[in-house]
Amino acid sequence: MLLVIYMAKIKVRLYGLIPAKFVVKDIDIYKPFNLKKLEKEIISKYGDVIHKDYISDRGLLNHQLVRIGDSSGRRLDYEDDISGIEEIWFIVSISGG
Amino acid sequence: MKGCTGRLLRVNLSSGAITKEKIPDEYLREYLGGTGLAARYLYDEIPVNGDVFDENNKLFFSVGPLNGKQFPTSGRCNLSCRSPLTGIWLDSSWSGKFGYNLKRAGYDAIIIEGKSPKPVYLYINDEQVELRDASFIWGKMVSESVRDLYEQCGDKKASCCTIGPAGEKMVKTGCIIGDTTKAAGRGGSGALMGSKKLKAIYVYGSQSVDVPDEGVWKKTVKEITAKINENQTSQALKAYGTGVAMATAPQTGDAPIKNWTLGKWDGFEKVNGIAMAKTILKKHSPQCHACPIHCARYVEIDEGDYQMKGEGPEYEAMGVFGSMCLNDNLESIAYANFLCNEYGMDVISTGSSISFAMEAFEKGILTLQDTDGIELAWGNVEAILAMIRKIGDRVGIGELLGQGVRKAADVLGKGSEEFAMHVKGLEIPMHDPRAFFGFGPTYATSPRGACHLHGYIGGFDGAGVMPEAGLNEPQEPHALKGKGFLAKIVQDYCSVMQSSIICFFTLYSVTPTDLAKALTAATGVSYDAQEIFKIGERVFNLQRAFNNRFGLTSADDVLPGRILTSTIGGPNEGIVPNFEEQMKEYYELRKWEDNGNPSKEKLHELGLDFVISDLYG
Ligand code: SF4
Repeated sequence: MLLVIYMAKIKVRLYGLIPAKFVVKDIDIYKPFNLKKLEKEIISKYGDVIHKDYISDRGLLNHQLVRIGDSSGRRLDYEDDISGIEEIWFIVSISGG
Repeated sequence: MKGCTGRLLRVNLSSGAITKEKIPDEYLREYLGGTGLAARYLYDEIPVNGDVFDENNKLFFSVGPLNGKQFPTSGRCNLSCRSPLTGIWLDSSWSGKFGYNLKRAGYDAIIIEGKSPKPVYLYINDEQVELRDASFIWGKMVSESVRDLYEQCGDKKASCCTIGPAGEKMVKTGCIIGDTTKAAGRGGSGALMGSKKLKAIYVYGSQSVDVPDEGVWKKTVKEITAKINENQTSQALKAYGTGVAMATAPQTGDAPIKNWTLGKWDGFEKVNGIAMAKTILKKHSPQCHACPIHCARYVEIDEGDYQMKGEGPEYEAMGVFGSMCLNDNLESIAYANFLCNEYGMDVISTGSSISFAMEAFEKGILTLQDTDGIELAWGNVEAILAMIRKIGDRVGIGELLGQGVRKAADVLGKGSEEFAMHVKGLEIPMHDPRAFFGFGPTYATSPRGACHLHGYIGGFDGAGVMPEAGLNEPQEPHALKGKGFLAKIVQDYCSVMQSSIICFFTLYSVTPTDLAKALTAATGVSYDAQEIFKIGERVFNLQRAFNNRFGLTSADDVLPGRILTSTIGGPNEGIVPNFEEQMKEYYELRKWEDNGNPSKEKLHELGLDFVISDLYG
């Protein structure tokens, strides 16, 4: 029997979640996936350095403070289908001067 | 009151008289200092009739109870007057160390009145105060003026503020620059200083400032400094400067693009604080006294067309000379910013006027004949730099653009009013009310016209809480309710910050409770959060009343129509603020009348009874 495992590579921008860090990472994730699964993956990898305010009680990102969008700026939430998306931004609001 | 010197320096440039006056104690208790103290004095002293360049318009430089020691970010100084650009209230503050030196010289404020017949500068070295001949620096760019001034006056621990050629020529967007790069940018204070032929103020102070208990004071400073250091926004600002927010702009839509029309621009990838750190950044700029944040950048460009050394562009400069003009050349933006500092001109107004002119050129309202053959096309870097020079030198089309977009649209007509982006004559900063709805009522009601600092919404809309004022949960940026409330509480808090006075970037970490504690430690007067909100509200309403006397009404509390229509593309496409409802909520909370005056009851509640007869007869 041939077992085929589908892996997706998704570019993730974590802007400001890790204090003073603005990082761009490629994350490998098993298909199918949704935003919850992606956030769990991010937290398993970077949860120890992401500021605690940005992690919710449910062990996901705190959407009250973290804004999520695709590369065109369209906002994303759990109900959105993200399977075809290649790049996702996770940002916290920082205002310039 | 402890923490203050209780002294004001009055300088009459017409007569040359210099006097030292006592400031009434109740003014200090009720208005603190900075913009609050300025409002209390200038409400009485600037007459309601007359031109902005009349000799009875005055400049008021002021510090507050937190300046003069080691409180974080307390090098700031406030400057207030009636604005040459807008004709209404103006305050503008700058960081650095001028405020520190002024306080230690023994003064809470300087009031400049009259007009000098010849260029002078004001020399302050503790008790020694003199007007001196400034002909050796008149006509020079800012950095050259500062260099020569220090050479003549000597002390490197001193500080100065000066105007450049733009202020001397009374360009209405001319500003005052602290040392070489810290701009009190907005509203044309440099033009007023130029009209008075006051080129600079040099100040050195060596006296200590008394607080009730040094131990309590030091402990308070230590605690608050630690809070600032721990805060993640402070850390981001330290790492990448204010330009960091350009990196998130593709998601928030905060930075306007192509004179507030588009919602998407690929140039953000190259024009932001992170890109700057990888390219032209050399180090943090160390000029701000006692600042743990260090948002300022020092950049160097050694080769090519845009060679410069000095303060790097901040968020606003990246916006006005970048996304607003569709220019993704970061080096040229740094150079444009440098030129503005050298001429002594407000970056926001200058860049916005150029963006406006580019649109007018595109629409055929301005032609090559008007621009002396300069192709004022979007993204044309050389055209941007040429326009800055023309504005600073007040030549050609620069003569008109230097009067701001309101005046430029008045003169050009042909529908250009539709894309002149200002509120009450002040060009709009680089934060879009379609991204953060709270900016709508904030811009519409700020006492100096479109201003993001009189209500630093960016720290709260979608980000922060302020339980002391009843904001217990971060607000969704596009929420349809609560933005009038948000604008009011943040404006009131910012008014206290600017009366204390400290940098707005502490807003992310220093709560009203912290600030009340610091003011108590500095002055010995027992302040709590509620009391300082009342001071903020008092100051804000007094500035409003100042404007009402100059004819300002609710009809002026508006935004340009373009901001109330959707961007083309981008994260906020199809989203516009419900501005009318926001303003209704705001007016109700402020207890302002339909005509825009603060109600008699509100004025009485705030101890502003002396205003009532002026507004109500
Ligand atoms: S935060 Fe920035 S502008 Fe404010 S005092 Fe510090 S370095 Fe200066």
